[in-house]
Amino acid sequence: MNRLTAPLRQLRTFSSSSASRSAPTPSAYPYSPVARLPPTTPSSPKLPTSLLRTLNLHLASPNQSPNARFLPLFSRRSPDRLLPGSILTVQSYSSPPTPQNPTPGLQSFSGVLIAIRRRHAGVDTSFRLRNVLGRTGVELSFKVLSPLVKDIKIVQRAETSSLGGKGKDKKERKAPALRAERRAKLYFVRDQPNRLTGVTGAVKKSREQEELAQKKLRR
Amino acid sequence: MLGLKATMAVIDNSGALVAECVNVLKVTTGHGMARIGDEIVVVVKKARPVPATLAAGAQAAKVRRGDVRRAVVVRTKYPTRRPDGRYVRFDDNAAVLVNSKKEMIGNRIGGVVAAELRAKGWGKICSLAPKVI
Repeated sequence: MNRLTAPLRQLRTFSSSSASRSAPTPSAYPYSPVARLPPTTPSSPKLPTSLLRTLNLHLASPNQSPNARFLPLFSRRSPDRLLPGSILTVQSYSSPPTPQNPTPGLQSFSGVLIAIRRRHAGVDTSFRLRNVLGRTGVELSFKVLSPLVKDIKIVQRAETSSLGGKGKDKKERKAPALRAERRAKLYFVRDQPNRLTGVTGAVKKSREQEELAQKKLRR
Repeated sequence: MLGLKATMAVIDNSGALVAECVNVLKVTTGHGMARIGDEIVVVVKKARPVPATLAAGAQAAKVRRGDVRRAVVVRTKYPTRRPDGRYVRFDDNAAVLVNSKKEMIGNRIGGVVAAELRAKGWGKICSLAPKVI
């Protein structure tokens, strides 16, 4: 008998036998029918070899943070992801909220979404908003899962003019109110001052609409 | 990140329009460049013309071209990092003129200013600025 083929043959028999499938806890040991192994604990995630990746796994549980509801807005394939060119308003705390001071002063910044940076399985997602205040352009980048970011509101979504539906459900091609840019990173806009204007107008409009809606609710 | 020869806009009403950095004060980092909230010594490269006829007290304190003054960096094109990982970046470099006692020479600020100034002790500039980002 060849020493090498014996265990392989046993493996094959074990895999096809019904006994091993119906056996409750101890996993079959291919090299001895008598041996019993302690029950294995179910799937603790396999730790990667890199130190930083291990740290990221342990430290960051993105779905437990309160800002995890914003992650689908910035993911790559979510159906309601934001396209670059959308106008957003971010409300952020000026200092970190502590138990003594759970709601520090809020600051809001509105701007056009010009870049989304995704790293480390969504944990390190950040986006960049650009706005022109006075006569200077200001760019502010926000980390989505940062506790200093309180709220992200979509003022106006950028849409592509693609046709919706298939066959009979096909809608007519309409020009979107805010056209999505054909690029993921809109850094070229810095050299074109006439482009992506109208952020303040859109923000004002949406605020007015919100106020009107609230007035109606109060009545 | 403003070092020697860096030009910046002057956004107060001291009369200067464009200033050029000549020296960076008190910055102990290796690169020796000024960031937001750092004090620098500047030369006024461009200033608003001072009419010779009027001799009002306020106008006499105005700055002329070629003056060497101190300034505080208020906006940089180089992105500034905030503790939670946020970055602020402006489209230009800007400064506000200041005297050796850290008092502002002008009394109004016309433009956006970075919030880092408050932490660095320039609360007066923040309070005068129309918008602090």
